Amino acid sequence: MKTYTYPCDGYTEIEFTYRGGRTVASKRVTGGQSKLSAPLHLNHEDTLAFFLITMGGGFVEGEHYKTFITSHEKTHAIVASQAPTYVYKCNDGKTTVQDVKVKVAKDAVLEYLPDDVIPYGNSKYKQVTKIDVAKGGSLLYTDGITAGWSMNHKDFQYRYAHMVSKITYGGDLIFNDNLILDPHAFQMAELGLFEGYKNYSSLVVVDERVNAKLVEELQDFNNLSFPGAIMGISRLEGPALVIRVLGASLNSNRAILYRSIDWIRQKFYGLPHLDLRKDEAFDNALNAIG
Amino acid sequence: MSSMEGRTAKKEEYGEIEKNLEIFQVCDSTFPIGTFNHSYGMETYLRDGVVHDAPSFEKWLSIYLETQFKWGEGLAVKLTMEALDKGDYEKIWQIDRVLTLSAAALETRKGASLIAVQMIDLLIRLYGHLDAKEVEILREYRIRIREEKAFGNQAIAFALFMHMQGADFRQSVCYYSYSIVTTMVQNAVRAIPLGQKAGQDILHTIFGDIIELSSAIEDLDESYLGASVPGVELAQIRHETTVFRLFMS
Repeated sequence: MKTYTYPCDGYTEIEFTYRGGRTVASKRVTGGQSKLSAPLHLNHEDTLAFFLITMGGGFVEGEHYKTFITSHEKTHAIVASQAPTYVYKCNDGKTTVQDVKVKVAKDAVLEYLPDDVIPYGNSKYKQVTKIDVAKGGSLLYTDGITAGWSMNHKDFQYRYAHMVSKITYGGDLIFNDNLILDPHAFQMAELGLFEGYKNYSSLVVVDERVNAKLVEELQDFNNLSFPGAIMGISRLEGPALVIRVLGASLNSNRAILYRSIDWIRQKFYGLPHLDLRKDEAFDNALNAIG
Repeated sequence: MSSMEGRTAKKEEYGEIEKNLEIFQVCDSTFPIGTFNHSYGMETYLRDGVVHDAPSFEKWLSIYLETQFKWGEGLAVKLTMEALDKGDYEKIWQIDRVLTLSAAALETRKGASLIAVQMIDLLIRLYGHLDAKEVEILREYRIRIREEKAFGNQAIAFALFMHMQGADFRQSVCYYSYSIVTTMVQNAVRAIPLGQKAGQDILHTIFGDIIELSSAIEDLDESYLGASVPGVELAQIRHETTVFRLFMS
């Protein structure tokens, strides 16, 4: 694997191609602080999977990261993160930026499942994720942000976070997810913002099998009370849906979303429970909600 | 036919007043476009017992105005008027698309579209006889919605009307906010319920918020269009699975 110098602090490019009856990573390029794991050995399945890795464990103030993921026809791959995205403190008021571009071809499946962002006290963060799913392509995409981390152990000590996800299907915009979190202007824990919860996570599913009936089935499947969390599911324009969760912790939110991810994986791809073998705390959270 | 035509009152002295009367009509909570059917997520808070009296309703209302409304419909009014000033009519359809597709909740998108259709139809009924560019665009908007080339949003229709009246964007943003707030207060009066006087107190207090949000919108560009915050949006999504309901969204 060749490492290039790019006009950014971390660069990742990965492409999946269908070759000889299976999915291969036909291109893997990283630069700067960004790395890719070796292919993961998952329990229960042999889907090709990688972790995105940031050296030093997080983004430093003013840094700019770029990630490109391309899934060509017929491939099925998982791109997750090894750990949450830490956005370290920002003393100079510089914004840390992450740009992500994802392409999913016809008959390809991409599960792009990064963990939530954890912004440190005083940090400023901007994330722009642009995803195009070709007609007949399939996408599972998670995203989220926590109340952050700070020296004084208080919540919402970061300066500003702006997270945008623009999702197109067959070239047409279907979802413009635009989240602005401004702890200087708002009481973040309050009504309308985090409602007393600490973590906000979401899952977007794009697949031509998503319709009103499927959304109702998924709503029924989630028609139970999740302790310490509220969640909702709605159909987006085009064959897509979104699940939002406000909850107490990164792991419990993820457990709620992964319950639905497993439901979708079983229904659409005939695959078992996704086990990325990350940590025990997550497994415990998942077991707690059954 | 304009109500001034064929009358003896002097056009230069009463022309401005007439335009204002016409604006009052469109901003009135009785202007029949169906906004009374929509709670913009407030009903979820009502069901959860979070909104249960005047102060808790006012809190929800000001957060809604300062966040999703400011970055959404409020900003859309300004952007639409700027597009009209520049003669960049294609931009209007782009604003419609981005604004609508920023709403994660299906009911929010559907509700906005239903209200927009009724507003456009009523504006064409009242002003369709005028030879104005804005009327022409309202007609095109209606056709685009019918042909599913546009979704429809009340804020955009309102901006077209206000531009036709010669209003600037500050007036337009503030008056549009007033029209939304007055309907929401009426909704709260019957749903929570609140006394009519308590409703008027809230309405009066919220004027300050409206001026603030209009002033903030002056500095916003279209990268903010459709932005939201977690709780406001999740309440709109969760409304979909609310069993007993007074409102459509």
